[in-house]
Amino acid sequence: MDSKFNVLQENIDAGICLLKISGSLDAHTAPILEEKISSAISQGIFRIIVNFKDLEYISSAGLGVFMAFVEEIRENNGDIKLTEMKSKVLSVFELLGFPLIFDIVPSDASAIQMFNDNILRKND
Amino acid sequence: MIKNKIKNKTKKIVLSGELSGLEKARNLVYESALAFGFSENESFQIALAADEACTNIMKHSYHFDRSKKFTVEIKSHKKEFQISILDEGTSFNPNEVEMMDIMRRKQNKQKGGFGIFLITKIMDSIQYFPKSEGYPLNQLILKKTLE
Repeated sequence: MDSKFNVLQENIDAGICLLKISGSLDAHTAPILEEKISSAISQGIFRIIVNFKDLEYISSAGLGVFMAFVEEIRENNGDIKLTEMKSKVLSVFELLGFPLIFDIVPSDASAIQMFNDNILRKND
Repeated sequence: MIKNKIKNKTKKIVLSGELSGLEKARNLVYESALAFGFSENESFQIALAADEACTNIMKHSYHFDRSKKFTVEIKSHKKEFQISILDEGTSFNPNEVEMMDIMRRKQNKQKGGFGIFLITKIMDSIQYFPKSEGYPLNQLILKKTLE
């Protein structure tokens, strides 16, 4: 069920970065992702794609990372788009109602297209 | 007969305030739930409920102190799967935890406080017995019935 957590970062375009996460994202590993997103923001990157293809597990601590940053990111004309989520991981987002807040899309290409078309969710 | 014996066996793991113990706890719960007859997705969610309960103790009650221990026990009876978590930290009442207003939490940049809500969504019953003079451990009992 579990494996070590890892984040690989790719800069897609000016202002867009892709974070590929793998393994288990829980209270133990959430600070690793938190640091990566924080680092992207400090570099002025506010358009972030998080690819979940190889993520096997997530707890509320993992979801909390996205919640902690999304307001600031949207205040800076950015967004967080989540891609390629396994159904068991998606079920956790759904239990908490997170699809109301985040765009969860099938592929990185769809997310890039949304950014290129300036399709961003706004703060309420 | 053999299957029933396996089902009725109590499994136990001792954890501390160290967050790296979460993986072992949820693996034990996941495997036990699967063996009991829950689907992979149900077992995944039951393991998540256990993870959330353990995380709360490690963080809020034990403040990540490795020297403080608590126990997770898994039992089953007929169609009922039960996780008991026994700790000696500060008592709290999970039923008094504020319910979710997700939009307000987003506005407040609130990254925590979702755990109890998830547990209530996943499990059929949550009972909490705070420690007392007669019994020195808090007991959180999570139950889910196999349908």
